[in-house]
Amino acid sequence: MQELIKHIALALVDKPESVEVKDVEREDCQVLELHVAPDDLGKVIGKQGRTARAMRSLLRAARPDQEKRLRLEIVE
Amino acid sequence: MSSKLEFKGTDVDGAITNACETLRTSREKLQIEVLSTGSSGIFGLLRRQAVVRVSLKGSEEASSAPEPAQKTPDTPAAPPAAEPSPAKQDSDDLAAPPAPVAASAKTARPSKLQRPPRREPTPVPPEYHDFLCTELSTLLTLMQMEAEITVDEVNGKTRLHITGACVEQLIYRDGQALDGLQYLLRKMTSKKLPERAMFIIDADDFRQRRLDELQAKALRLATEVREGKGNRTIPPLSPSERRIVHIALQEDTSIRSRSIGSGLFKKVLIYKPGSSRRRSSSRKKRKR
Repeated sequence: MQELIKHIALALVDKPESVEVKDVEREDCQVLELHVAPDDLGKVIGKQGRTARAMRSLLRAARPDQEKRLRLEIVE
Repeated sequence: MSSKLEFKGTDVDGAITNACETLRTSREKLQIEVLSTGSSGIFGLLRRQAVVRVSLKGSEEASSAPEPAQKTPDTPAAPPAAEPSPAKQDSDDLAAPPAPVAASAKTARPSKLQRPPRREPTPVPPEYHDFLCTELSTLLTLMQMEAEITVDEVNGKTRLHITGACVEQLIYRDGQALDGLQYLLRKMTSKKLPERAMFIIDADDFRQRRLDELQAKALRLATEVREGKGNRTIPPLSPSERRIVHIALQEDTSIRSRSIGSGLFKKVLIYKPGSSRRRSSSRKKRKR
């Protein structure tokens, strides 16, 4: 899943070098932290969060019956 | 007397141009106050006109401004009334150019002419098909989905058709993942594709099934509304899905449809004209 988000983010941003996806385990859920350059934040979030929502919907579809929830957080 | 007059138009610019034409003066000489910026609405719905209040600058000269000139015989009544009201034949309203363009410069509606013609999307040229398939299959592989992708053309649109075991996951919850996939792939590839080239992503003909389903639902609810069972709403839909509903109901003049809510996903309200909100003059024109 990490690679999926990274692949998408790389295609969207202007500064691919600062794209990083970290997989963080928390007690109740697993969190994917997407780091991008400040200028690229808007590109991975999209108008009204549309891009972010699309990525989340892909994540949801990609791992249907997992117990732990997977969250995508976008970090500057 | 410095006369303050209100003018309407499809947008602020249009309203001001309207004012200038009616008063036969230039924009610089007017004191302009924007009362309402108006809204272009969605699919021709929820459209509001822009309203500006103008008065001539240099209040003293204003008295010399020929008040009667504003009501010159060739300017029919109030400016908004000059707008033709093609009550219900709305669909071909835009297709046909505003009739008397050349006839008289005065009646040419600038706001209408200024709107750029709709840029129709074109199918993706064949040489890019492999590129799109590769991109899509990369995404699906990263999602750990096994799929086969074929490319064809449906209704003049390039379609990437996914088949295989993963389809069920993609169309789960009205195809949320499928829409996400389509949206992201369009964004990811748009810079590399020719301008306006557009494709859709489908899975096991889900798009057509969804279209049929929405049309059937719209028509069923419309029947209920027409029978006087009150208004009906369809739960939040994406813009393209709302479009299907509005188009399905467009021909039926006994009921109307309107999107309500904010954000990307809106509900569609189906109602009898007059039962919900008074028919507003802003519904004169429709985009499609």
